[in-house]
Amino acid sequence: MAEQSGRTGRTNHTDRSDQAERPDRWDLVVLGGGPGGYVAGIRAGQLGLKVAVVEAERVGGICLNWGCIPTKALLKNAEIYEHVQEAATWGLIIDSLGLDFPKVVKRSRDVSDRLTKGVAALLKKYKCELVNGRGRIARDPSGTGFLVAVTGPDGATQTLAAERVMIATGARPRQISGLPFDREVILTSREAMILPEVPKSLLIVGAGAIGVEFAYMYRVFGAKVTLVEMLDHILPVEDDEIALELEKIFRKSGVEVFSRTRVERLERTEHGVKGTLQTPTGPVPVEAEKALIAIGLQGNVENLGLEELGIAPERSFLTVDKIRYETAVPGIFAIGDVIGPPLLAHVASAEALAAVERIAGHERPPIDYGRIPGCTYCRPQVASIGLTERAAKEKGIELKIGRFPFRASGKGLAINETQGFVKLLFDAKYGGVVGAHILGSEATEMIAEVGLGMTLETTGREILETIHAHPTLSEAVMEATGAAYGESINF
Amino acid sequence: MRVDMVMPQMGESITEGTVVRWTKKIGELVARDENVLDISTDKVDSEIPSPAAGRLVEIRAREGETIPVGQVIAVIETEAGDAVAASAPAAPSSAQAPAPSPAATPPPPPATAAPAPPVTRPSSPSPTAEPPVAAAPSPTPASAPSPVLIPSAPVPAPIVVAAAPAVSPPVPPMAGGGPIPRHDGERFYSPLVRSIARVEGVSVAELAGIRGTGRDGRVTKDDLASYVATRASGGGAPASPAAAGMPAGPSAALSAGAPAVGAQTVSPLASPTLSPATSGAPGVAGPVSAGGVLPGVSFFGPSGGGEVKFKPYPAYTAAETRSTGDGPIEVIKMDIMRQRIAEHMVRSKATSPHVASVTECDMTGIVRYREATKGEFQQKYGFRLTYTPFIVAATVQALLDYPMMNASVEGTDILVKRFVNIGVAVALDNGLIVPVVKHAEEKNFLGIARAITDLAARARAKKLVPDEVAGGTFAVTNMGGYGNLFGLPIISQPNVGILGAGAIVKRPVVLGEAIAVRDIMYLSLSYDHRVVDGALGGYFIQRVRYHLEKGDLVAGV
Repeated sequence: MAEQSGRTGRTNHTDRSDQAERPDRWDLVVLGGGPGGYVAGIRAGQLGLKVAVVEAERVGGICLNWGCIPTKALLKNAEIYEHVQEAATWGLIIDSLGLDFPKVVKRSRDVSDRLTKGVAALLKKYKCELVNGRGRIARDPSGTGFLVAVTGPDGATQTLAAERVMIATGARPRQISGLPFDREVILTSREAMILPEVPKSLLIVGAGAIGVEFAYMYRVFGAKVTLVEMLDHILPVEDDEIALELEKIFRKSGVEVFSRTRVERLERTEHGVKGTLQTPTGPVPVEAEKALIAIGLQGNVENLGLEELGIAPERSFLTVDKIRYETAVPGIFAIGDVIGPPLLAHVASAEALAAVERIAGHERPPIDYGRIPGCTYCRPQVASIGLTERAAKEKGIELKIGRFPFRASGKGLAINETQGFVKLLFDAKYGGVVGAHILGSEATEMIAEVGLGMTLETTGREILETIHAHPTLSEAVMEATGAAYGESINF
Repeated sequence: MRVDMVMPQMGESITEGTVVRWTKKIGELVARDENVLDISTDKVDSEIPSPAAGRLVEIRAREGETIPVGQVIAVIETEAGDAVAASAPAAPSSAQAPAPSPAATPPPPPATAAPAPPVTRPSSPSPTAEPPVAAAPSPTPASAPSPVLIPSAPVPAPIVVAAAPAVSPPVPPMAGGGPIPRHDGERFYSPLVRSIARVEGVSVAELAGIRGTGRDGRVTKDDLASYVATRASGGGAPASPAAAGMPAGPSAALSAGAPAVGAQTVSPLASPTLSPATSGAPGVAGPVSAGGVLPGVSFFGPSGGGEVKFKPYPAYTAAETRSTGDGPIEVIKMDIMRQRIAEHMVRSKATSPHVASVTECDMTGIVRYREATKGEFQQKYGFRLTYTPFIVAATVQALLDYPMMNASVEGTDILVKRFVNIGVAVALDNGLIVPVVKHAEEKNFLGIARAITDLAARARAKKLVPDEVAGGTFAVTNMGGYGNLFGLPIISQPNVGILGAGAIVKRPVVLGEAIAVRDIMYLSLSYDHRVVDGALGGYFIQRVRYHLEKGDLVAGV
C-alpha cells in the first residue's frame, strides 16, 4: 500500500469529488495485459484516467507472447522454406538445404521479446501503471468501488482501490475431456511453437485457424501431419467453397485431412499418442509422436473473486452488454476473449477502445460484430469478413456472387502464387457488400480493403470505380466485383 | 442506341429553360437517373437526370443558353448491342421526337461503340410537338423508380426518349448512388444508403429525417433498413416522403431574407472575410457581390449574449479582376437566381410602399414544449421539430382572423383569398427560394410542420417543381437562425404582407410586479400601405403573437 501511494503523483485524472477524498484510488484497474488489457490501459491513460494494468506474466498476452505474433514469425520461416524447396522452379540452384529448427524458434521468440518490450514502453509513455501479479476483485467495504488484491510473483500482495475494474484475462486452450495437457506429448499451441525439434509425426485435433496454421507449418518442416476436424470441413467458420478448396490444397501437399471426424480413445503411448478416428467412412487408427489439441478456448475466469461479487460465468465466459462492456455488477467491465467468441486479438483491442472511451464519457458507435475480419496464415492464406454464402442464404439474402481466381491474375502468375480465389458476396437488391472471402497469397492484407468498404457502406459500384494499381493481387477484389456485376474484364 | 435528352417541361406555364451547368462532359459515362445538367427556369432550378445509362455523346446547348421546352439538348449513346432495337416501333408519345440523323449530328460520337444505325428523322425538331401528353404512358424506360427526381403529378414526364425504348442499365438493381446526393448539406450518405433509398423510394427529405446512429449522426444501412421496415409496416414513421431534417439550431433551416425570391441575408454580405482574397481590404468585400441586393433590411446588433460565431459564406467565383488605382476589383456574373432575386426585390419595392411594425413575443411556453418533446417528436414522426412551424401555424390563424392581410392588389381591386397558401423562405447556398405550403388553413400543426420540412429539404436539393413556389398568399421568413433580433423583410409580390421572426433570446421581462427570465422573440411585419394601414398591420401582428403565446397551436399532436 505504501508503494501504491507513491504512484499517485499524477493529477490529470478525472476530476471527481469522491476521488478528491480518495486520492489513492484508481479510476480504472485492468486485469490482464494482452491486446485487450494493454490497449485499454493505453487508451485510458491517453484520456486522462488514472489507470493500472495488472499482468502476471509479460505484457502482450497470448497474442504477442504465445499466439499471433510468434506463430507468424514461424509461418514466415515455413513459407520461405517452402519457396526454397521449389528452387528449381525459380531457376535457383541450392545444393544443400538444411533446417536449424531451434534457430527458427529462437527467431520467433526474439520477435516476441521485442514487441512486448515495446508495449511496456508504450504503457509507460501513456502513464499507465503496470503492476506485476494476479489480481482478485472484492467490493470496497468502505462503500463504492472495489479493491483489487494483487499477488506478485514473489507472493507479496498489494491492494489497489479502484473505481472500476476491467477484466481482460483472456482465455486458454480447452483440453479433451479425460486427456489433460501434459505439454510434452499432448500439447497446446504454446508448447507447439517452442518444440526442440520437428516431430516426425503430428496429430492435430481441431482445424480452426490454430490447427490449420500448425498443420501447414509442420508439414513444410517435414512432419507427417494428420489434421482432424469434427465439423464439415477444416476452418469450419469460413465459407464452404474456400475451406473445401484449402482442404484440397492441403491434401495435395501431403497433409492428411479428416473432416467430420471424431477422435476417440486418444491416449499416450511410450512413443507418443494413439487413438481412433471415427471418419464418415469408418474407423481409422492413428498414431503420432505428438498431438496438438486445438479444439477451442475457455475463459480465464477463475480466482478473480467473481463468485463473491455475484458474477456467474456462462460456459467459462463472462456476459456483458456489448455496448458498455459492463457485467451484471456495475463498475465491473469485461472485454476480449474472456467474454467469448469471436476470440480474436483485434476484437479484444476494439472492445477495449469502445469500453474505455465510454467510461471516459465519449460516445462512439458500437462495434459491428458483423464486420470483423478473420485470418488464417497458412499458404495460401485465408481471410474473410462478413457472412459466408451459407449464412447469407440462411438469412434469406438474395446474392450476387463474384469470383476471381488468382491463376487469372497477372501478379499472381508473376510471383507464382496462383492458388485460390476471391469470392465476394453482394446483396442483389442494393449492391451492398455482404461478405468477402479470399483464399490466396496475402489474402490477409487484401481483406482490409473490403473491411473499409463495409464500414463506409460501399456498394460494388464504388469498388469498381476505385482504380486498383496494376499489377497487384488486390486487383482480384475489383475483378471479382466486376464478375458479380457481370463486368469482369480479365476473367 | 441513341437516346435524346430534351429540355423538360417543368411546369404548365413554362416554355423554356436555361442551361446552368453541364455536370457531365462529352464522352463521359452516365448512369440512368444520374444528373447530367442543371437547368434554371423562371420558377426553379432543377437537376436533369439521364434517361438512360450510356455515354454522353452530344451536347447541343451551351451553358447559359436558353432553350425552348422539348428541344433536344443532349444525346446519350446506350450500349451498342442494342442498336438493332432502334428500328423497333417507337414509343407512342415520342414518335415525333427527333432522332438525330448523322447529318444533323456535327461531332461524331467518340468511337468506342459502333454508331447506331441511322434512324429516319420524321421532321425537324418542333418544340410544340414534343411534350408528351400527360396521359400517355411515361416514355422513360421505367423499371427502377425514380421517386424524388421528377415528381409525377402535374408535371409531364420531362425526358423524351427518341425512337425506341432505352435499354436498361447493365445491372440496375445493384447500381450504387443514384439521385440521392452524397451530401445533403448536413450529412453524408453512403453509397449503400443511397442505393437502398433509391430502390425503396426513400426521398432525400425522408432520409434527412432519419436519426443516424453512425459516426457523427450518419445514417447507416441498418438505420435505413429499420426505417423502411417501419414504413412498410405502417408504423409510426411517416408513410409519405415528408420528413425533413432541419439543422440543429432552432430556426436555421428557414431563413432570413425575404419574399419570393428574396432579400438576401445582409449580414453575410457584410462580412469582411467573404473570401481570403479580400480579407486584407476591409470594405471591399461587401460590395463585391455585384448584384448589390441590399434590400431594406437592417439588423441591430448581435443577439443578447452568447458568442457570435463566424459563419462562412459560400465562396464566389470572379469572372474577371479589374485593376484600379485602389486595388483589384473582382467581377462576378450574376447567376439566374441572383438576377431573379434582384428583379423581384426592385419590383416589389417599386410596387408596394412598405411599412413595418415590430412586436416582441414571449416564446417561453413553446421553447419549453419543444425542449420537452423534440426527442419524442423526432422518434414518432421522423423529422426534427423546429420553431418555424409554430410561427407559420400562428400566422395562418391570424390570417384567418384578418383575411385582409391575405390579399393581393389588381388595379383598383383588392383580391381577398379565402384560402391560405403560405410561403416559407428557405436559404440556399447561392440565394433563396420561397416554397409554398398550400392550403395551410386545412392543415393541423403536424401537417404544416411536415410540409415545411419536406419543402425545405427539397428546396436545398433543388427538387422543387415550379408549382411549389407559386401561388403564395402570404409569406413568413425566419431570420432567427442568424442570431439577429429582427429584420424588415421585403414583400413577396403579389402578397400584401410578410412576417419576419427573429432570434429567440432569454431576456429579463416584467411579469406583473416581478422580473422574470423569459424566451423572447421579435416579430416584424412588413405590409403594403396601399391596402393595409397601421391599424390592421398592428392588429395582425398582435394576433400572431397571441396565437404563439396562447400555446394551443399543437393541439392534436
